Amino acid sequence: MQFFSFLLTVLVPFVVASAAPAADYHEQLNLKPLPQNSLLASFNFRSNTSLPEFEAHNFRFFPRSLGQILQHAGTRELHLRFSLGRWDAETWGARPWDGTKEGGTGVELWAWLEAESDDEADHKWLTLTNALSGLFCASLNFIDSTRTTRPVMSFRPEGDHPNTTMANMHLLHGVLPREVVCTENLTPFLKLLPCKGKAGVSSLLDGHKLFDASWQSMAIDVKPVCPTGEECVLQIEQTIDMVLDIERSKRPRDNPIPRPPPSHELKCNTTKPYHADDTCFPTDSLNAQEWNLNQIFGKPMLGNCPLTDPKTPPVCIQAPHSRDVFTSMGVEELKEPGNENQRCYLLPSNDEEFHLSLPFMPRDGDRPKTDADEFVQPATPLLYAERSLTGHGQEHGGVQAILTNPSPGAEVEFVYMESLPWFMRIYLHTLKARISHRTGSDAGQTLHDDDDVIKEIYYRPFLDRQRGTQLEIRMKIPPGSTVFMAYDFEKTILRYTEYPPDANRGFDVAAAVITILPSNSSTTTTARRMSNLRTTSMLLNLPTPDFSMPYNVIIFTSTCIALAFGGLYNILVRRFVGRDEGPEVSLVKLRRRLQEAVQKVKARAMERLGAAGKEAKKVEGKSD
Amino acid sequence: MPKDKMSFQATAGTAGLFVVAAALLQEGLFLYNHNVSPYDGGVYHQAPLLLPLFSLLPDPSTYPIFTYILYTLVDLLSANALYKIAESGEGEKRWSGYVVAALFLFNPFTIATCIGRPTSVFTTCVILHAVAKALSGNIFTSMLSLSFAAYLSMYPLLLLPPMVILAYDRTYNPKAPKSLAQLAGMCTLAVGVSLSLLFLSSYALTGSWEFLSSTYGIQLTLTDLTPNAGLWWYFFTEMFDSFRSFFLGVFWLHLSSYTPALTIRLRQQPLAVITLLLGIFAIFKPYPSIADTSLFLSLVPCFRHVFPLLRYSFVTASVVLYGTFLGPAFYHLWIYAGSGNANFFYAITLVWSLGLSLLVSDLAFAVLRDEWEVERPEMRGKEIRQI
Repeated sequence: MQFFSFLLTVLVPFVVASAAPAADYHEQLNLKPLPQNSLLASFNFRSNTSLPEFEAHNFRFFPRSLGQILQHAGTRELHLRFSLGRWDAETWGARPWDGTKEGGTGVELWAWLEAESDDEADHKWLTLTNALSGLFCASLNFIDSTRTTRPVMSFRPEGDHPNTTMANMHLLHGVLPREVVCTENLTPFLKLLPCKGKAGVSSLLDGHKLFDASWQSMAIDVKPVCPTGEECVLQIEQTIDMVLDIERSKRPRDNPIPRPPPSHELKCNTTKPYHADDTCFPTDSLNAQEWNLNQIFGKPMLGNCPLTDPKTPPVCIQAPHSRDVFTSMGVEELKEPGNENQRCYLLPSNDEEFHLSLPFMPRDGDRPKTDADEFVQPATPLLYAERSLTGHGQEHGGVQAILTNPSPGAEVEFVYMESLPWFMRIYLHTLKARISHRTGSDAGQTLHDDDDVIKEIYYRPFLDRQRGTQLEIRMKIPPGSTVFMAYDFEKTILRYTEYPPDANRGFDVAAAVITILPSNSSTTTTARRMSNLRTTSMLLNLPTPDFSMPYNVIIFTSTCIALAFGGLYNILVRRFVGRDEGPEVSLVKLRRRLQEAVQKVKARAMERLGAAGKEAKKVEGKSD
Repeated sequence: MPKDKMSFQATAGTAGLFVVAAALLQEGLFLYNHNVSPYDGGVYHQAPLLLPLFSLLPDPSTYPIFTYILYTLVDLLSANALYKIAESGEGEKRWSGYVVAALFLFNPFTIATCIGRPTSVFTTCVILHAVAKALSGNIFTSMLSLSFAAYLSMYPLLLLPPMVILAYDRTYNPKAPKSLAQLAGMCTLAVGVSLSLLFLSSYALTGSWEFLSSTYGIQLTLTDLTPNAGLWWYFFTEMFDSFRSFFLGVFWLHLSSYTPALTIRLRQQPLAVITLLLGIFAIFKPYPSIADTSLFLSLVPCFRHVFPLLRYSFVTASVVLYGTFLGPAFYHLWIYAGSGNANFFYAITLVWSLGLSLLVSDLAFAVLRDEWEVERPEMRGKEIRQI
């Protein structure tokens, strides 16, 4: 429970109030309008089962299918992520849940397994990935030894584990950056919920809208939680975060193809010199759109889930109180006294549809509205991170990570973890960090090498076809500074069967995981929790062989070798003689005989011809 | 990052790369200096004893001059050995040692190799010294050099039989005349002992036997397929998985079959055997580079007296030049420009290999003809045929 972030801080009193947790279930949808007509929707579903009941296979809200897998694979803590898109930290600010509930693009899985040895842990990991692969319709079984790492500094158990099991727990982490998250992953996700998407906030979830979002992350976390003085429970928390482009998601379902708006509906920037009746530079629509739940999720919310704790408001919206919000009848609005930006809605216990709509707020007229009325200004994240490939050609390359600490006063300490595929051969000796200060005594854009940024490196080099590179770097960035970290690598050519069918698209390289460590400095009043950040994944282009001609290559190379070998063999095994010495070679002999035969035939033919000519003359003479 | 705390986890395994380039050596050195076993990763595939040697040098990224000096010195040492080899020859029609050494030093391939700073220059150096010492009758030193060469890159072990014969022919010890078999046994023992000493010291240095699979296993199993001038990489890139080990066996058998054949046929001229074998290695070994070609070409001028007997010298020279110029161009087209595919470069490696093999077989022909003409001086300059 201690890992819940600011979004849930309001919820905590309710949770504690209803804490008679033999088995309980909560669900909540948090809506948060973001700048530029985006909307963050955070779905959170959480249920507890007491550990003894779980051990006795007595599942109530805990999904049985998942529970049995966890028991079979000796999993003590499990984290599974399905993500798509990129969180735009520059516009949207800090991540929901402090980034702890998101994964890199594709599928990410990490778990603490109880095992006596590394080999046993590997075996259980294999069992776990294969079982989960079937359960979630994802290619999790492709997490093999080359994609599995054992992070050392980056991940900490989130649950409360007794010390006896801690000693035997093995953390394994695997990523599938290439995996395309899709509707087939959502369906099993919804099936794990007690209300299975038929009622409650989960009835809003629809594959068409979820996977059309600008960014989305589905998360499943299973961990044991031991509240002080109470029985330990096993908690499963399912989270879906999505950032919707309101304009895009309002597109009607029967007409989903975007078409250019007619010219009279275009909003043009009239200050442009070329603006005319037939020329238009469209302005970004800064006015907040009007929207309602029905429109943006494509379906209405079907009342309350009857299994949920009735005291927990299922829907909350984080917007200034000056923002108008209309709901359907019979809904109770709760406003937190100290919190100006949060409103929650308690639904009546009937099965009526819940409607929520935010009307258009005019920017002009009598009471003009501003941005401050539309949305809460997002909090600045602790760290901005970008990562990109450098270099050209398909032989060498480089990776550059740009890490910015925007805070004016606090330094940030974090672990940067890369798990790279084995065909990306990194040269650790080229790892360099340069720092540029923007504030402080040495302000300005001067860059200087600063190795003091890097505090500790854990490096496990790759082995061809066996394991990938694991690189964990603990860094500390002073306030208002940017660190440019770069290293070089070499690209490998693979066997032609190891390339995917679309080899020239490139290979996905998993996102770097950044774990911001809790700062222990007394300058920050609130003790920060562990928070996470992930860069985008990269596309790595490898040199490709020609896929069409394996036979030709085998034949050509063999011919080349045969020519060389045959030539040398001929020279070595034969002996020299003069041109006119030694026995005749059969071919020469044959040719000579042939020539002789031809000569004979010719001679004979000439004779015959000669005789025939004489006779003919004779005949001619007679007829004359 | 000298102050970084580096931790590592040791696991056994093989893998990687054998392209002998400076960056790889530097990476191995970096890991070694930070107490990470370079053999636990897939980057470094060189012999372990090179690591302490290079860690003695100042950091090459700050003081590159010392590395340059080292490589230049190694080249000069090779040239010195070559000088001795060339001077040991008899006959009138031969070039002086200076000419041969200069031909080696100013060979564009040698210069390119030196700029690339691969570790194969060390192999070149010790092979040439092994030959020079064998020529001067220093059997033990010669065998020690040969073991060093085998330790560095394994394939020079195939040079042992001709080297023994060379040493046998050149030993003038009338007091204790030994039979060839005796000498061969002694030499094999010497090589075995020095190799095991080298392995033991490597074991003491790295603390495990991982280096064996990482240094020599990679050559035997060809897990790394980085493009090079040889025939193996593309063949095994395109090979069907089920036939991979079969063809690896065939290729190695083919490579080693030349040693007995040439040694027996050219029993009288062990130096020629060594030269021809080096030429064959430059074509058919798993990861050939221009360093191997330059080693072969450096010994060819020692056979100045057979040059008139070469039949295809013009064709060979043209084909080798063709390969030399078009190889880098096609590599660029494939890797950087993207306007050609892998077949461009593959085709040029075929041409290059054919050109070199033409040179090798032509040289073999010339050497054999020369041998024959010594037997039958009256046939000099006449037309001949082979039966």
